[in-house]
Amino acid sequence: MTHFVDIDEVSVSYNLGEPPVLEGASLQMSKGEFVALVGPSGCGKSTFMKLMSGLLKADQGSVVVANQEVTRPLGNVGMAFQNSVMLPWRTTLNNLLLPLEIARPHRETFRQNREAHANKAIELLSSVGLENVAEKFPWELSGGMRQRASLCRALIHEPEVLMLDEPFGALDAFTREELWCVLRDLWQERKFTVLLVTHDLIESAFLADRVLVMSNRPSRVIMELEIPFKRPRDLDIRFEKEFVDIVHQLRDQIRTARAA
Amino acid sequence: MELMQKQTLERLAPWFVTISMFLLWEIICRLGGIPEYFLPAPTVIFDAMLTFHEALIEDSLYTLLSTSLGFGIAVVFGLLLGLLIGWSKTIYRGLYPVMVGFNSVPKVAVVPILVLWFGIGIVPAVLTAFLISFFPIVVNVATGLATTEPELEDVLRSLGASKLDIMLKVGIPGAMPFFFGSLKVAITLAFVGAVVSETVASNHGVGHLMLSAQANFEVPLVFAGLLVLAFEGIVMYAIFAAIEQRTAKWAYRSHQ
Ligand SMILES: Nc1ncnc2c1ncn2[C@@H]1O[C@H](COP(=O)(O)OP(=O)(O)O)[C@@H](O)[C@H]1O
Ligand SMILES: [Mg+2]
Repeated sequence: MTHFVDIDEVSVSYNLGEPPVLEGASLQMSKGEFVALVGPSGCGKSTFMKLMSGLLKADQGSVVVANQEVTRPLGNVGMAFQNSVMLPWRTTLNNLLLPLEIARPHRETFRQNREAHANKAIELLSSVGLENVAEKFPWELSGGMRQRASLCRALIHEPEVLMLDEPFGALDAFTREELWCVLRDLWQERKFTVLLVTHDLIESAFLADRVLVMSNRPSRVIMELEIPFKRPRDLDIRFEKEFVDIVHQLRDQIRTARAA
Repeated sequence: MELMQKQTLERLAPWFVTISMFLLWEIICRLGGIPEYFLPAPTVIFDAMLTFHEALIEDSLYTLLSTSLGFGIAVVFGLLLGLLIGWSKTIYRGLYPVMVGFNSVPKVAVVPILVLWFGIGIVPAVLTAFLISFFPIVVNVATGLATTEPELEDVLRSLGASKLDIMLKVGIPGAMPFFFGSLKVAITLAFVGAVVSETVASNHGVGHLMLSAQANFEVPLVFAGLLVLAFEGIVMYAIFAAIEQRTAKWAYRSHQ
């Protein structure tokens, strides 16, 4: 069976003559799978993500997404980062519509369909608990609200792949837990393929089907762990013994990875 | 109640200071017996303004014209060059030494060359205004473009955005507060350039008027010219500061 995402033995270095950031790194994902990527900071997780989205070219190895060799950005991905990077001169609604102004095939017909798009955006906003912010500017929103909106922007064009780079890293613990549930429910409903980069092991185990651990530079995936809990998962699962065991296992792995 | 009083006080403070300054000036001149040919009192200057109002109005309109023309060219040219520099690192690198060299030449020193080329008149004034004022526009526009957040660029590029898309959707709107912010600096500089050039190389304009008044020992008129310049400068600055506030509200709100 061919995988939906198949990254095979890629190596990347940013500067000539420097040791590579990634070396022989591989990753397979099936369609609709939720994969979390953890590893020591600076090991190349964000680099891995850029590679998969086509923002960066591998020196060696191949990247295939949806049976297509990725050589440039494909447009069928949505991205969100720790920093919500909204355009401060646009309302939340217009920030959400931005991907539709850019990505094909929407951009050609954006003007004609603007109203339909706007309705969809408002619907999406309410599904993450943001009913009345469409006309508000980003600076009028709290950090958690901005991050919800940023998730919506990543999903508005119905991408097949969602890439999240430490999206909840800057939030307080309560808001973070709320947003875990927001993401869980969005995924449950839409079943896009997710790659979530995080440094929070509990987050990775709570949300993902599979957690991958990366090694220090030159980096590759050194271990993967299936997360067996059935879905939909409840926040309280975090306090069950099996869950705690898995988190401990991940922590040990990362400790070994850092020492290596 | 107390808050309102405080706000009223804050609003009145600039008027109070300005009027006090003129009053103090008047008193010092009167009581100190300072001769009119050294420092005329404000009332004497206002009197000269009334007497020579026709010449003052005509010359200040002339100065305004050369300032506006030079500033207008600077805006168009500065915006274009700023966008070009922001567009490509290579262009930026290539132009950098020339720009630094250009910027370190005092623009007043170019006036003799301009006179050599274009003779006495409005052209050297316009060109000096332009040369002295375009640089801050270029630098600000280029800086504004450079502030595009890399993550945002990643989001857009991952959607298949071209460089032009990113420029149009993010770069240029994001650079607008920088651009409008630079205008109030640029208009002031253009004004300085125009007046300096008029003073040495023109038969019109407030600069020229002041120089002739000085030659004729019409000291109150010299000071009248100075006050008119100050007034014009303040008005132009205020206009562009207001434009800046209106066009980039979000920039103030989002960075507070
Ligand atoms: N644009 C870049 N140019 C040069 N080096 C980079 C660049 N981006 C990342 N790196 C380097 O590559 C390594 C991996 O970075 P990154 O993928 O951001 O790590 P992570 O996301 O796991 O923290 C780091 O050592 C970083 O310094
Ligand atoms: Mg990172």
